[in-house]
Amino acid sequence: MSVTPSTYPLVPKIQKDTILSLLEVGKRADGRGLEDIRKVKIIPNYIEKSDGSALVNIGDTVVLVGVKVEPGTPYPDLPDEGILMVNAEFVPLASPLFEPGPPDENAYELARIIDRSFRETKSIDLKELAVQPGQKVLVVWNDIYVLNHSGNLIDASAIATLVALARTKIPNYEMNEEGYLVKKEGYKGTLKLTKKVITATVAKIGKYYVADPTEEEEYVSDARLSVSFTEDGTIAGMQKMGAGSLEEGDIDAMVDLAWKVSQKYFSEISTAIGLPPQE
Amino acid sequence: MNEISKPMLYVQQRDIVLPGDLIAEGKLETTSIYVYKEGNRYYSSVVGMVEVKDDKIALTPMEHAYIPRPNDMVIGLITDVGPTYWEVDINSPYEGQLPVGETILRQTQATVDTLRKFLGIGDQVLLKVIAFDRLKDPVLSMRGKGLGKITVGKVIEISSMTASILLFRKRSLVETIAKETGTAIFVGNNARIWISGGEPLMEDLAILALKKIDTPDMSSISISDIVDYIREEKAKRVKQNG
Amino acid sequence: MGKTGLKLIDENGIRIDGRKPDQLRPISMDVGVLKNAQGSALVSYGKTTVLAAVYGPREALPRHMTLPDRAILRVRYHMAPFSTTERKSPAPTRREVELSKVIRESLEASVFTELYPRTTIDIFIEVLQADGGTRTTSLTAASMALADAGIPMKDLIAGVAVGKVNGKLVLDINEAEDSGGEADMPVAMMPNLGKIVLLQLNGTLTRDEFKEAMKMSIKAIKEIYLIQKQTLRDKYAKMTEEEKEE
Repeated sequence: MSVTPSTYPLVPKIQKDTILSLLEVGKRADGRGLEDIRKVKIIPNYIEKSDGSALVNIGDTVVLVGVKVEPGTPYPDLPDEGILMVNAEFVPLASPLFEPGPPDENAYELARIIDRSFRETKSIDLKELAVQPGQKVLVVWNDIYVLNHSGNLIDASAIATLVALARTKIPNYEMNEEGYLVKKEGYKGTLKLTKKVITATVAKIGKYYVADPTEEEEYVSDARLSVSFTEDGTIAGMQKMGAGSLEEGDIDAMVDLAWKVSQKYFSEISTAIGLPPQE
Repeated sequence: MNEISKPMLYVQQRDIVLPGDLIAEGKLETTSIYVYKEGNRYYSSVVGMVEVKDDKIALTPMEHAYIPRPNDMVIGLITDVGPTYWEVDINSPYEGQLPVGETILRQTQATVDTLRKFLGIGDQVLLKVIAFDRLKDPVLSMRGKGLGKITVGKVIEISSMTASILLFRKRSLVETIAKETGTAIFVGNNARIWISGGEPLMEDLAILALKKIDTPDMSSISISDIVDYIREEKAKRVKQNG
Repeated sequence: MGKTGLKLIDENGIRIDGRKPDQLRPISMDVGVLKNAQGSALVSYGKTTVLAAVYGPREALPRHMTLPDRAILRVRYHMAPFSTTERKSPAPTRREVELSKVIRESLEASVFTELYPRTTIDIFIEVLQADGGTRTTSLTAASMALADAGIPMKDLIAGVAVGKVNGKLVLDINEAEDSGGEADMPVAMMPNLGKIVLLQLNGTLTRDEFKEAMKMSIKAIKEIYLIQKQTLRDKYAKMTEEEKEE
């Protein structure tokens, strides 16, 4: 059951007025322009024990993604494909609003947005992960760990997921006599990423559209739109969030802005993926 | 009044409007909480019936949650007894409070025991709303003519729509049922009805008649229909008992 | 060919269920179908059938979960175990959790929650049969149940899903088109106000296709809206007809 949140922090009215009057002159509380994103910092291969990982900061927001590749059984309707599983945890240390316990609806929503963008674009060659089609396949577990919530968790998670998957190595599994897959020394290769996909979120506050919203901007926004893109500009997913509404014109403008932001993310990611693994 | 300040009306007398229906444009006078404004346009927020009078609009919702208003007469059910007040279910999203000072008990006598003896959990009461602003629970009073604990007869609940029609448009239906069955019928603002004063058999018959008209198309039932119905049922009963 | 290699639309642009690309399935609606609920609605788009019920506004328990200045909405989107081809476990899935959230947020854009502080409005949605477009059918039904319950709101909400099969945009997709197609884009709006309250896209579309899909869905939503209004009017019209004669 989804319940209207009653624990969100109260943004003082005067603060909201300030945000709006700043937007009117093309500025934001942290000095950014409406279309600017915060500083992005990407550290690939942050967790040595994972098969792929990335730590991403967007401003004060911190998201860590760890990937593990493990044996599993294929879906009956897709017997000759491996599986990508995207999971998200809003761990309590990340925000006073996060509670221990099973994932809440926001975590599920985030995971599903990221999952859909990769799944629908077939960004990962899942066929390559079928060790024994119909019997044994490899499952790519992509765990998103939110470490500090300062807004725009979706974009940070999308960047971290793309970088982690792009740097994921496939462990060397061999079938033993009993038919089990056993992990051997070393790696068999790297995960094949056929397409890069990213998600960019735009918030509508009053009549203004802002890129990479902060937590406070999220609370005062009427609605947000997350749009996923591949590098050629194809839309690969979309999600309107928040309890407000948008007009057709708003959506066009927000998709335009999301594409501009996506290109910035792609360029940050290319630089990061190009770096040698952290030793 | 000049021409420009006159509203442009998009509805006629007794039109049914739905949420999102445009009612008027311009400057409109309305006291209805079910009419909302965007720019200079006025829209309905509920399924309701409009009444137009001299460019003023009233909107009666078909179904609605009972929101108490001062001077409403309500039939309540005692759900809890506190140290100085009773909690009263009044068929509303808001639980009513009956403070001891609004009864014949003296404040100084107030203990849970004396309160319980006076009105216990499960008792039904006829009360008046004296204050409500949606932020605090509605305050009820038992001070006034006819108010007090219900000790005889029966209480039923009907739909909010039927209640408003019986209260404001078709009082004659209630009067007819009361007359034909020899009972006293009180329709509370909170869609609860108290039937009393008659023989138990006749009270039951009044309830049956009230339930018969509690349908969305109650207007298709005329006074003569209801008279016929009651007389028919009466005859059946006399036969059975005779 | 779709994902599963199925041919979902023929040379003449006719879909597997015989519809044209921009054609809705037969739609049926009924309100006030449940006695206990304050408001209810049963809505079908083709074989997709959804029952929605509204309880409240009512006292919210526990009290600390209430808001001092408005009502809270509690929404459950749930699929009946027998609604799908293979039995679905009644336990809520990740998908149902997400859909409950997006449906709640959509409804919150329309309901005047500030009229009932400290209360809760419960909206329970049961998908009785799923054949594509269940979330948009759910929103259409939930909005009518709210209207039937007399909950004040800005406008009714109507929704529809546009999909892409074999490279072509198609309206109001069924399950085969959803699972075999390249995209599923559910849209819901308050048609009289032109406000979009739900927008999701699962799949890929070019910018031009996206714009075209928006146009298709908005046009269809306006048709569905007319059926919604007629259904609500029919329930109450009889009453006023007779009143006018007096």
